[in-house]
Amino acid sequence: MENNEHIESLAKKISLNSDQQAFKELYLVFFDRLYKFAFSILHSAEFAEEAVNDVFLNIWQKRLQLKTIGNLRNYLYISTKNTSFNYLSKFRKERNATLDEVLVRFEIDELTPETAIFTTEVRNEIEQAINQLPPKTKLVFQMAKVEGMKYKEISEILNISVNTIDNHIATAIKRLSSTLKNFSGEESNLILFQIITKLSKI
Amino acid sequence: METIWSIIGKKFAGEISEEENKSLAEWIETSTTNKQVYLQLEELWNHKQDQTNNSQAIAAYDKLINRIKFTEVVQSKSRVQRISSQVNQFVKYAAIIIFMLAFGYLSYYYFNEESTKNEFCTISVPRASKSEIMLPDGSKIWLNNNSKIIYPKKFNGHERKVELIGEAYFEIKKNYKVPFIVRTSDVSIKVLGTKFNVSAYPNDKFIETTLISGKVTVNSNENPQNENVLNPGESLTFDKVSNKTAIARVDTRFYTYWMKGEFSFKEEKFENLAKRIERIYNVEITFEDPIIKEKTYTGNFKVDDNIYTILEILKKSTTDPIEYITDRDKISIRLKK
Repeated sequence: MENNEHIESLAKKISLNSDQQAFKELYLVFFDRLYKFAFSILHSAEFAEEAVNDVFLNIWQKRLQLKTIGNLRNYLYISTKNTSFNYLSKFRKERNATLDEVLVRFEIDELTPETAIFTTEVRNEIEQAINQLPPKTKLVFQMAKVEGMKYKEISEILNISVNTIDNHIATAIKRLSSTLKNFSGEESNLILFQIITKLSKI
Repeated sequence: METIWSIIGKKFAGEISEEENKSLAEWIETSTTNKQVYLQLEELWNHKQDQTNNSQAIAAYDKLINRIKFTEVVQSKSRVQRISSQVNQFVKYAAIIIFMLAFGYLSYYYFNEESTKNEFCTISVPRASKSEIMLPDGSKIWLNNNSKIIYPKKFNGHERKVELIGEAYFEIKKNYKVPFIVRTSDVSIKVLGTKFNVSAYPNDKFIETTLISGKVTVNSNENPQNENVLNPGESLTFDKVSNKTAIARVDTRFYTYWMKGEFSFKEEKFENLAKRIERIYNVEITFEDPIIKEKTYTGNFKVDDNIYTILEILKKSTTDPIEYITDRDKISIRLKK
């Protein structure tokens, strides 16, 4: 997750000095996640990249008014969503595209040491469990988990109520829990043993 | 939906209330399984997985920058068009004056703003596309695919210098006081105002400069005394290996085919023809039997033609039958057995 103050200072540099270096940095901070978001709507790598570039082209052209935007991250997400839906209606002639058909893939990286506590088998089970959830639930879960977004922010971006988001997250957590519970016996005891040392946060 | 799952979700998302926190703690203490599941969930939630794919982001950013440059050029162009469509002469002249003032102001603002930070613009065109660029002095450049040009945001008073990798066609605004110089890997082309084409791809053995009109001089970078003057309709080939130059009279149409979306060749060796096809269609061509490389072809294709159409035509128009095998973007050509 990026630092909000850092994002603000980048926006300021872009707006006041037309600073290309700051613009590039902002782009690189957000590209990957906005690309994935656009991809989940458009299901096309080419169009997803194009949509993200449309959003940033607009940011550059309107850089002088950048300071009037309160939450730049949310603005970027909402613009990406709107641009993506515009693409859908333009190229696929889908008038009433909705978020119900988003294509989100949940994956756990195995490279980082933290996840070493989950064996490949457990990892696969978890990925499968999440990926079987309804698309919108997966999307909400990803946004809260990966982006560290507040319910209110997600609600603004996806234009759904905070209550609905709560339900989506609860569904995802429930599914995860029952998957994790299945790994009983020795293996999960081992897992428990490995992470118990990290306890006492609550 | 005040279930425990909702509470756990809120806990992770930082939305939890004090009361909910208490009931969560109670639930965790109820059983070892609960504790275990909670800890695993927490572990999973906190695991960060956004591994930014930087190379894709950087490539996409380059495309964005090209688009920004392009829209800036288009915007200034469309402004001119809109203004020139005014019928009333007076309005027209008034508008032109206003436009010139505005343009002067904007370019002053723009150059001062940008040139202090970033002295040079780089425009690269990926494979299978091309781009038209307007330089600060009003000169125009058509950049062929898989090519790159670097030019200053603002030309200095004594020379207009650009750097080229790949192929480009130039239409240079006349300015006898400030020569225009195209620098490639091995030779530099100096002009005062003219139309010419330069092909300087890193993978090619030769650098070709073809003059359409005007006058240019071509100097070797290593040995600047090695100077050649070109006349319209002549093409200079510089051999990068032997450092030798050769001038030949050519049909200039063959050198500007790519701008018009048309692609002509006349008694061209298949080996050279293949290099052009590779660039236009974003493919890799290999010859299994070297003898095919020496075959020559004369013809004319539209760039919009499908590559398979072209391969089929080439296949049909040889005396010794050839065949080709394709594997995605790799095409292998051999003699038919």
